[in-house]
Amino acid sequence: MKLHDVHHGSRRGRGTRGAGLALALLVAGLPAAADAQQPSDTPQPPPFFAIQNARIVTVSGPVIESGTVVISFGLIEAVGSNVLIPAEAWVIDGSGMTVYPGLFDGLSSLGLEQAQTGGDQAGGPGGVFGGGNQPISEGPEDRPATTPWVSAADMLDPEDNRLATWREGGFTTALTVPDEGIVTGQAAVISLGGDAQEMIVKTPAALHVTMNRAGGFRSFPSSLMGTIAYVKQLYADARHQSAYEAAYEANPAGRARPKYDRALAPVQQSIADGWPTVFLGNEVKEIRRAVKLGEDTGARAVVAGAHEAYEIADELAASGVPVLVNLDWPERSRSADPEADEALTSLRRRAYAPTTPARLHAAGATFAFYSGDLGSPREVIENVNVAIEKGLPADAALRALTLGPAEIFGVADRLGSIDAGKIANLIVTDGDLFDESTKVKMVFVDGRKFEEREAERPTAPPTVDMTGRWVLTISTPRQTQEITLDLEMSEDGTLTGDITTDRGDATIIDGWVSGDEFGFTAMQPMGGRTAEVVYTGTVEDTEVSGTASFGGRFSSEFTGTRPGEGQ
Amino acid sequence: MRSFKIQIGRGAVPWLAAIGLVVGPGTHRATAQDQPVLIRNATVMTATNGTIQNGSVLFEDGRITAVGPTADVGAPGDAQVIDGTGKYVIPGIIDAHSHLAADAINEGSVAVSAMVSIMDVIDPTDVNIYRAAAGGVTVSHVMHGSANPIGGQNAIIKHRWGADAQGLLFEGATPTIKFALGENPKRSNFGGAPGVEPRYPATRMGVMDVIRQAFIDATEYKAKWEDHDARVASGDRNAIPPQSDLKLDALVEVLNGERLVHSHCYRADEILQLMRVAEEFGFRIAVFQHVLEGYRVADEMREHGAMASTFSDWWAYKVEAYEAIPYNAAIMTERGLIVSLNSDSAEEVRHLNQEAAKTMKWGGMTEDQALAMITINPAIQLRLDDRVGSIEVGKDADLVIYDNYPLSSYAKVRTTFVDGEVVFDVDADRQMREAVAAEKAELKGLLGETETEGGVR
Repeated sequence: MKLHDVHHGSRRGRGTRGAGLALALLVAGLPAAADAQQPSDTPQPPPFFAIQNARIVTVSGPVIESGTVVISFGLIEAVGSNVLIPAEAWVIDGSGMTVYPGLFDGLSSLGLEQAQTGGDQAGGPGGVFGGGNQPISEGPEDRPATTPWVSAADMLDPEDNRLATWREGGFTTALTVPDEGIVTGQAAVISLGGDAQEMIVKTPAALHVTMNRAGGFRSFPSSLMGTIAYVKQLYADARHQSAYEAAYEANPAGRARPKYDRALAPVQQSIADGWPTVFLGNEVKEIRRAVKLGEDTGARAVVAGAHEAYEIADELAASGVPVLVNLDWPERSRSADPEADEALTSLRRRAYAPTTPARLHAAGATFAFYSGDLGSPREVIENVNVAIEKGLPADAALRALTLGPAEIFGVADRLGSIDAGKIANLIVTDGDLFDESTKVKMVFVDGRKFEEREAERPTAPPTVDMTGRWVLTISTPRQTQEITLDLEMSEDGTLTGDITTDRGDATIIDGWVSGDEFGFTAMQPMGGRTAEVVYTGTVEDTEVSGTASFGGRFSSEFTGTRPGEGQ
Repeated sequence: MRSFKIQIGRGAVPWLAAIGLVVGPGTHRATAQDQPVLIRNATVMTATNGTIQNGSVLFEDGRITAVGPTADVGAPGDAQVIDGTGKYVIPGIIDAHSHLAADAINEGSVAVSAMVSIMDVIDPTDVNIYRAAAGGVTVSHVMHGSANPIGGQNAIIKHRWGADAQGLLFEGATPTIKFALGENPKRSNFGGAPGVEPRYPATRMGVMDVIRQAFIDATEYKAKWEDHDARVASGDRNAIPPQSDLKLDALVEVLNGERLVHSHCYRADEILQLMRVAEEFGFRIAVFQHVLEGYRVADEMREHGAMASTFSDWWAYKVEAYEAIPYNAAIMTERGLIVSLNSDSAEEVRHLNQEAAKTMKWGGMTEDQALAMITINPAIQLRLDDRVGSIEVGKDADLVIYDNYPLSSYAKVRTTFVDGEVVFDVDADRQMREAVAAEKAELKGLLGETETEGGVR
């Protein structure tokens, strides 16, 4: 494992102490118990846990019906039906509980403030017409939208709200990826807890290549074929640069010193070290293009998306290219004309995409899951269950959420299963993971225990029924936006449903009604990225009013009505 | 799970099934029928050897094995016989200029986009592949757009509907590249965005400058590689290969005559200009596309060694297209040029037979000359005339059966074969519509969206 710079005097007060602790451990190799005496504003977690009498689903081996997992200084020290519990351990009675490896989201932007990647590099992702202040890219030599030096690990924000949401839903680990541009940057495997330095498990864990354009018709590449040609040229340039550097190294006399190109150096490294390189492709033709681009560039391709991979599962298995399956199954657009005849290809994709995991499994292909644009872990589990209904064995589904991604990204020696010596990223549930009534009771990230977050909501029972459709009008200084809610409220006031905006759809999470007040959160599409929007308000008869908070940055008032009601 | 892929589906019609019609992704090549097929007693228009009344065509393993008067064509006992009485058979139509079946057409950001290739973005799911086959088309030259003086690399496909992108490509075809002259590459009719500097060139002389400079660069680049190869050959083990450049690689192929130039053009002056520039660098323009003023410079084009691919009667849609005449194809033919008619359109491609027929009305072309313009002539222009373009023994069994005389607005395609396999059949098409409706209903049921109360949730 690569050790990373530990920065002193971090701007984040909360991160400083953790970093100091980590440094102390790294430098001195001393037991952390010594640090317990240091003053602290938060209680220090104990370094030892033992979860006993629990059902243990190890993933790597058989299920242990009643056993113990011992956690020590962030690692799994022992697992089995008959293991010694250290005297110092905080013993947790796991009766009726099941311990799983923490879930691993195979491709995400967790911990990254979205749209902060890319930056103002030459020809980088530009405005609608490549205008504004963006320089125009005149060809491959301008390295358009190419920022392989951008590293997710350098940009982690432990305050990203999604980390806690994902963790509470059972995810302890993720591949997180800068997502702007063509060669967007270096992905990292992160733990979903701790400060920015502690979160990093492996970096770089992968390189990410999209089929995006440079932005605008005046910047190269402006077409899909331009992007494909560009990526081929970039890899050819990287290989040439490596060959030239090697020749110069061997005999510099009479040769010009190689020029350093930050857009090439990481690509050269990725070729030399065989980094997994993620290419995107959902339709059969796109998947095949991704596989072929891997062959043409010599990159170690991983294909992500794969909704139509059910058609070519055997071909993918034979190619040996690992597949990341997007669990955000295709749906008919909510704004589609209900009278319009849906194309056969679209119907097939919607009907058969969830059979992809079962087909890949049967074909013996290497695959793992990722959450795509799904807004909550609950939806992830629901959509995994759809794949299980379509024939994917549950143990294969669990593997695709744990050891599968760990293997693809080269961290299976540390993550993905419950084995002595691995990182203690674990979850404890009160039932089978894929039973939708099951709750995640405890989450361990790097051996630290995270409690369920207290729901921030009033507890009074609802006095109004919000079930049904609502149309909200949100006014911001720049525009007025209309959004549609389709809600269902249960007796205890839990609110679920969907939100439809002119920029896309989202599922409501953390929804509640109490008295005549309500609140919910949605990860809303906002022009190519998503933003967390928190709605709170009150209901009066057939009208609602309240405030929408956009990513905690600004708020807008909204009003709304039930459309067509009583007419 | 249902996996039958499309339209012309498994078992659509018993005799179609009998000749091995199985269309699925990536499986096309493996399913070539091996039972001989005899089309018997039809009017066979060969395109190269006149018309045979009461003729028969025999094909097997995707190749034509016999053609002639019915009495002379013996069929093996196991042959599948199609009664051609009252019907017409022509070679598969070849469209020398198309933009169907591609997910991108223009890389318009740069004046020279020779590094990009339509072959990278073939869309095998584009239904226009099938619809063109329903119009008798079996080969299309899928071209990059005309936004650049030197555009991208083109693709030549066979209309093997159901094959994947690689399977559609015409194997072994000589590579081609798109050039463009006039209003499109100088962006006359395309407004830029506010605040965005317009792209060079903006004039016809600028277009020539871009092409000339590109070939100066390509010549230097070629010399660099030749120098490197010479050093390696002389035993220099320290030689480092020059940096490869996908754009210049394609232009070096043009210089070497290994990649054919198909240039979009309209006006006589720009046609002459381009020929001069090409001759400066020692290569030839293979085919002028559109070439609406070709009738004015047909002799010069013939002397240069160029051919022409034009429209029948489509003009005046922009200033540079005002001087067109419907006699263009006929005049160029009479001046000794190989002339083809193309569609440049996913609609017109379905009735190229009518476009050919128009040259008989305007210009007095013979039936054979008219038919050649959509069959053997485009085959020659694409250097594929050893494989396709006529009904001759040894050529690919790319054939079209018409219910009536093909060079007419009453013509209707009955069956289209590519490599001896049915890619369109009018009866199978009708049955397929029912199969599609049934599959849609089944899928909706599977999705729990059986249509009730006006719409689905």
